[in-house]
Amino acid sequence: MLKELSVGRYWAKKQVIASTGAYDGYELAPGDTAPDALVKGIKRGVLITRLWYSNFIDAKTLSITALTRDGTFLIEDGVVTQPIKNFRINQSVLAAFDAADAVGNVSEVTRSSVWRVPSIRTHDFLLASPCDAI
Amino acid sequence: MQSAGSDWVGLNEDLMTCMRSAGLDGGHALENNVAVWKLVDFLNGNANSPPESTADDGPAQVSQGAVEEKLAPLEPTNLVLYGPPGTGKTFQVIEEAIALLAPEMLEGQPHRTSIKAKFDELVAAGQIVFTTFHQNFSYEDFVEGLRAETDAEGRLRYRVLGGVFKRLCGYEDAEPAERSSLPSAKPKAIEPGRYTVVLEAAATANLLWYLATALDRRSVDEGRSAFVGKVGSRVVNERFTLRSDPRSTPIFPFDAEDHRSRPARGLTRACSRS
Repeated sequence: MLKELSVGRYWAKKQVIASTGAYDGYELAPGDTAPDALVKGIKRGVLITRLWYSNFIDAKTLSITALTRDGTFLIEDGVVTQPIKNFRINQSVLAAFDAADAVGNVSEVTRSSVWRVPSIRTHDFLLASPCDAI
Repeated sequence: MQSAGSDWVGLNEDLMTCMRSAGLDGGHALENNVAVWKLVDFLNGNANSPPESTADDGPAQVSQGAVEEKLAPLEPTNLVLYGPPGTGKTFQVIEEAIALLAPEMLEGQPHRTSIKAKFDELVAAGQIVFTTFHQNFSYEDFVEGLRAETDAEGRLRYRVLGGVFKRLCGYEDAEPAERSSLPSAKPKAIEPGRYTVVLEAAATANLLWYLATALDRRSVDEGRSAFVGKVGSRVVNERFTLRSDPRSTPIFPFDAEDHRSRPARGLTRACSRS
């Protein structure tokens, strides 16, 4: 359930409501699946290490575009089998989180050392076009 | 001593005078000062309380054991033994390591061989690392560095290998990029489409940044957000809880808007108590 939105100083003054400041240091609570177990049971899928060159496509659907980087791999019959070329993704972030069916039980510190986030498994993730980026 | 008066500078001066008259070493003024303030805080019942709770509970009744327990972190466990060669530094360090990791071993009059056996056992388990800083012991040996290796076909490869310190911290295999880089030299092209994917933590964080950025009241009020009309309702699958809490994450005390950092709940499981 969506509980809380942040309110910047400018908007708070204009609307005569309390400002909250800009939140940082987000934590996404870990789930109960061991990271290695996330690939088990996937007949054919892709392991994505990291994204870059990302930007909004459509804020109303929270859709973004990005390129994969730092290692993108094919998963076949529950095993990571081989490295594959990078992709451009076009994907609604909300849909990706909504379709997630497993969350890793280990959080890693990311984003300038202040976010704690686990790995996740999700479905129908659009790898829109191949990309020669390394 | 009066707590938290308005004249902090005067109070600090008084404190320094008291410390000098008690014979505390002036060369350690900062450490002594910090320790005394922590003690004052503790006696006022404020030790380890979250930043939200600033209520003064008055002096707390505490047992001696509790005081020792609270003050224990002030005692550093770093230790330097120095002396000429052959005077027992190495001998002594074994006992010191056991005192930290298995103090029960030292009760009574334990035999030297049993202490040494326990030490060797902890070394084998990776809990103790015994290392000698030779003149040629480098950063690469201590933290990490490239190690040249020859594979079965005689080709030379350079692998990033963790040093003793990194191994001791349990970080040796912590770099997914390191795992990924070598086999990725020759990637295969597969056809685009919709796939089941596993997103490593870094990739999840890349996506999550966009979601967190969109949790903004102004864009909702102006009707240009995915969250218009969604506050209080389900926006994603309920296995996720997103929160921001300066009490558990090392963020700056003030944020990008010069606001004091405070906890936020973002989205939470519908049934959670928060």
